[in-house]
Amino acid sequence: MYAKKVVAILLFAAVLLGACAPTTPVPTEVSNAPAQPAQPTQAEQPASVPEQSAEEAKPVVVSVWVTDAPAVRKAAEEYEKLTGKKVIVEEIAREVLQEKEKTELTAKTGAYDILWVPSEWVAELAEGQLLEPLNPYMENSALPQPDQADWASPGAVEAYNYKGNLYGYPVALDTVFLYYRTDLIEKAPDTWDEYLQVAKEQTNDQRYGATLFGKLPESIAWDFINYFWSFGGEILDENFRPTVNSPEGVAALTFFTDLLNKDQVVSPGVSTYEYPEVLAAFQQDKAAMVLQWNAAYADFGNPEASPAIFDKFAATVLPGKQMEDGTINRKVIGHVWGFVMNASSQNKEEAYSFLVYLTGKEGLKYFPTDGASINVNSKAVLSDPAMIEAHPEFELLNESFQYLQLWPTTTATSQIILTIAQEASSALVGSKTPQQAMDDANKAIDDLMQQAGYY
Amino acid sequence: MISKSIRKRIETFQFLAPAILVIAVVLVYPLLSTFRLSFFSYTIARGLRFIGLKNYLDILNDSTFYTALQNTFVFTLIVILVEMTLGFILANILNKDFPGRAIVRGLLMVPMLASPIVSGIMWRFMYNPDFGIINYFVTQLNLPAQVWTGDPKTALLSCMIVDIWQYTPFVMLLLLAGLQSIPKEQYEAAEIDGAGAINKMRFITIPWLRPMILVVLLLRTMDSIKIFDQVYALTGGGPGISSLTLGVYAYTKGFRNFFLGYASAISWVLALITILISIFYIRSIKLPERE
Amino acid sequence: MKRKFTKFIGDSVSYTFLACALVFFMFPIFWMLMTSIKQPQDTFAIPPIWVFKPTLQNYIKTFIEGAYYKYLFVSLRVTTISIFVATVISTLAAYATARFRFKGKTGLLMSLLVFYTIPGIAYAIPLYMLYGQLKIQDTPLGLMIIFTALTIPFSTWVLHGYFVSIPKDLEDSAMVDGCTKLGALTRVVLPLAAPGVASTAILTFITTWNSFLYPAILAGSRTKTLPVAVAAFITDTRIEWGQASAVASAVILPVLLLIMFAQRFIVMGLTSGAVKE
Repeated sequence: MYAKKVVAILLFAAVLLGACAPTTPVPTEVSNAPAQPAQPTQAEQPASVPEQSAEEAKPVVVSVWVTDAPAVRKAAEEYEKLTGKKVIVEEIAREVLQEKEKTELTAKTGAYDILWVPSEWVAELAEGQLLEPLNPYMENSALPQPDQADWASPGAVEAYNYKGNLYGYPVALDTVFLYYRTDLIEKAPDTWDEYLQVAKEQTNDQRYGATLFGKLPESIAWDFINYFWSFGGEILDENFRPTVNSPEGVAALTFFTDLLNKDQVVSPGVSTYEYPEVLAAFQQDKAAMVLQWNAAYADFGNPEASPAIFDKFAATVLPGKQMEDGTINRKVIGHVWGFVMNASSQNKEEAYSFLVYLTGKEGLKYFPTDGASINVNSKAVLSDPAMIEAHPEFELLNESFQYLQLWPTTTATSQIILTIAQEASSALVGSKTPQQAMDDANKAIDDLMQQAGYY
Repeated sequence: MISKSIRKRIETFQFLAPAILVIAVVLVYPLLSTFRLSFFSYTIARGLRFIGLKNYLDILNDSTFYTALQNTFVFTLIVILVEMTLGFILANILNKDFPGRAIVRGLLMVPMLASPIVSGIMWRFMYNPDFGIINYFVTQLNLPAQVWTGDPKTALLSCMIVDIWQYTPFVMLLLLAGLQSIPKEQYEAAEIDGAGAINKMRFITIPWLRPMILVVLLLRTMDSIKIFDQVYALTGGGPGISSLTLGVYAYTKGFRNFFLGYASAISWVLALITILISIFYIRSIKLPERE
Repeated sequence: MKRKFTKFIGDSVSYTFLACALVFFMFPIFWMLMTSIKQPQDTFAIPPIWVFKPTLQNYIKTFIEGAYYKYLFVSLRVTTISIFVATVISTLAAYATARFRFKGKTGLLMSLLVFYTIPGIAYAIPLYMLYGQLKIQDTPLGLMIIFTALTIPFSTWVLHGYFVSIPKDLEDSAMVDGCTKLGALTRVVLPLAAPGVASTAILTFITTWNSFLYPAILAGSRTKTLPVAVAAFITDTRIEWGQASAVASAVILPVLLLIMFAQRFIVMGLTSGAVKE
C-alpha cells in the first residue's frame, strides 16, 4: 500500500521530469573555452572564418526591449530571407532592461551578441571593456558596411564614440516637444516666464495648465534637465567638477518645483508621473500643455486613442530662458538609442553583419511602424513620402535639433542621472529646499566623479 | 552490528542530507562570493579594486542608509503587528464551521496570488491621485484626497497597506492549518470542565499554536526586513527617499548603479541585523521544542 | 441562556468582522476585474462608473497578441517540480530537526535562516555567472535548481513548526510496534500535519510562481515564465490600464484554480496513509 503510493509519486515525478528533456533545445554551443572568463581572441584573426555554411553558423542573438522588439523581429526575418542566416531576438521587459543587459555584459557569458543600449551607457561600458570596438570591423572589406551617406543624424553616431573608438550604431534620436491645446492657447509660450503665465491662466476646475515628469528612478531627471540647461546650468565644468548648485542651477530647480508647490499649475499627483501618465493627462483633457517625447505625437493625433483632443493640439519647440541680453536660451534633451556589440560575443563577424543591416535603411524602416522609434538614422526612411505624411512633426524635429543637448559623456553618467533624479524628487515634494537638494547633488556627483577616477 | 548511536547518526544524516546538499551546492557559493565582493569596490568602468572594510565604513557614514534603516524598521513593526493580529483573528473565525467556509477561505487567499507586478499595477491604478478609486472613497467621506505614492508623508504607508493586504492571508493560512491540527478532544474536555471562550484560548489554543506563531512571526519579520517587491513596484523608494527600504536600497545600488561591492556590503549588514533579531526572538521566547 | 446570548454576540461580531475583511481583501481584485471589462472612456471616469456596458476587447487584445499559453506551461512545469522536490526534501529535514537530537541543530536552523535572510540580489549576479559557465542559464533545469534551493529554508522552518506541535506519543507507539523512523513520518506524522504540509506547499508554490527577479535575470526567451512575460507586456508604454487589468486578471486565474484543487488533493494524499486508531 505504502510502496504503491511511493511508486506512484515517483512515476508522476518521472513523467514531469521526462517532459523536460525533449522540449528543451540544447543550445548549439561550439565554443571551446567554456570555463574561462577570458575574452575569446577573435578580434585578432579577422579573416579566419570567411566561409561558414549557413547551417553551421551560430545564430546571432539580439537583445532589445519589448517596445521595439516587433521591429527587430521583422528586420531579422527579412535578413534571414536575404542571407539564410537565422537571428534570435530576445525581448526584455522595459523595467529590467538595464539590469538584464548590464548583468549579461558584466558576466561575460556572451549570451547576447548585439544589445539595445542608449548612448549614455557607452562610456562606462566601453571603459570597462565590455563592448567590442567596431573600428577593426569597419576596415574589414569582407564585411558589409553602413551607408554613411544615408546617415540622417551623424551626431547620433558620434554619441557612440568613446576615446576614439566607435562602439555602436544608432537607431533613433528622440527629443521632447511642447504640446499644447490650440483651442485654449493662441500663441505658444517662448520663454519660461510666458509658460508660467499661460499655465496660470489655463489652470481651472477642468484642468491644469501644465504637467511634469516627477517619477523615480530617472524620469524626473529627463524632464528637469530641460529647465536646468536653458536656465544656464551646467552639470560639469571643463575639469569634470560638478557645478549643479550654481545660482542658475538652483534657480532652475526652484522654478521647476514652484510649478507644483507655489504656483500650483500642475496636478498634485505629478510626483507619480512619467511617460504614460503625462500621455493620459493630455489625452484626457487634464492638462493644457505638456512637455512630452516626440513619439507621443502619433498617439495624440490618433482619433481612437485621443478622442478628446486629436484635432485640437499642436506641438512646438520648448520654451527657453530669457537672458539678460534679450536672447532666449533654449536647450532640449536628446536621447539616442542604438545597438552595440558584446565584447564577449562568440560570433562577432556575423553579429557585425546583422548590426549593419539592422541599423541601415533596410532594418530601420520597421522601427517607426513596428517600434516606438520614429526619428531613425536614415535619410532614405525619413524622406519616404508615406513617412512624411504619417509624421507631420518631422519639421519640428529638425527645428528642435538646433537646441539639442545630450548628457555629458563620462563613465559615471548613468549614476549622475540617478543622483539628479533623486535630489530633484526630494525638492519637488518639499523634503529639501532647492538649494539643499542641489548642494547634496553636487556633493554626490563629486563623489561619483572621484570614484570614477576623474580626479 | 553497528552501535545504536552510530545508527542514529546515520539516520539523522539521511534525513538531513538532501537539504544540506542542495543548499550547500546552490546557495553557499554565491553567498561566499557576495561576502568576498563586499570587500571590494566595483564599478562597471573600473572593475574590482580591493578596499578592505571601506564599504562597511561608508555604510556607517551613509545618511541614506540610516533613512532606509528607519523606514524598514517602521515598516516591519507596523506590518507585523497588523498582519499577525488580523491573521490570528481571521484564522480563529475561519476555524469555526459555517456554511460557505471553504469558499470564504478560498476567496481570502486570492490577494496572495497576485504577483508583485500585478499587485503593483492594481494598487497604482487605485492610488492614482486623479482617477483612482481610493481618493474617490476618501473624498466621499469628506477627507482630503492624498497623493499616496507621490507624497513623502504617505508613500511608506501606501506600501504598508499593500503588504498587509497581500500577506495577512498568508499568516491566516498558516495559523489556520495550525489550529486545525489541534485535536477536538482538547476543547471538548475543557468544555466539560466548564471553561469559557477566553480560557480555552489561553490554555489550549495559544499553547498549542505557539510553535507556529513563533515560526510565522519570525518568517514574516524577516520578509518585512528585506522587503523589496511591493515597495519597488509601487514607489521605487520615493519620492525622494521617503519610502526607501534596505532591500530597495541594496537593489538600486547593485542593479541600477552596479556598485556591486557596496550592494554586497549592504546585503550582509541586512543579513546581520536580521540574524541578530532572530537570535533575540529565539532566545527570549525559546526555540519551539517539545521535550 | 447567558451562554447562548454571549455566543450570539460573539458570532455576530466575528462574522461582521469577517465580512469587512472580505470586502477589504476582495475589493482590489474586484475593481481590477471591472476595469478590465470597461470601455476606455469609462476607465478614467470620476465619479467611477459602476454600471456600464461591458466589453471584452481588452481580453481579446491580450490573448491574440500575447503567447499566453506558452508561458503558462513554462511557469507550471518549473514551479510544480521545484515545489514538489523542495517540499519532500524539507519534510525530511524538518522531521529531523523536530524530532532528533543532534549537535549543531540550532546552528543548522540558524544557518537556514541566514540563507533566507539574504536579499535575492546578493545571489543573483554570482549565480548568473556560474550558470553561464555551466551553460544552464535559460534552461528549465537552471530555474528549478534555484527555486528549489530558495524554497528549502522557508519550508523547513514552517514544517519544523508544524511537526513540533504534534505530540510524540503516537510515533513512539508506532515505533514500538516496529515502525522505522521514515515509516513513522509517513504514517503517523504526515497525516496529522497534512493541512500544514499542504499549506506550506501551496504558499511556496505561489511565491515561486510569482517570483520575478530570478526568472527575469537568469532566464531568457526559452524559459520565460508568466510573470516576466506579463511584465514585459504591461510595461510597454503603449499599454493602457484596461489591457493591463485584463492581463493581470488572466494571470491570477490559473493559480487560483490550481490551488483550489491542490489543497484537497494534497491533504487526501497525505492522510490516506494514516494509521487507523
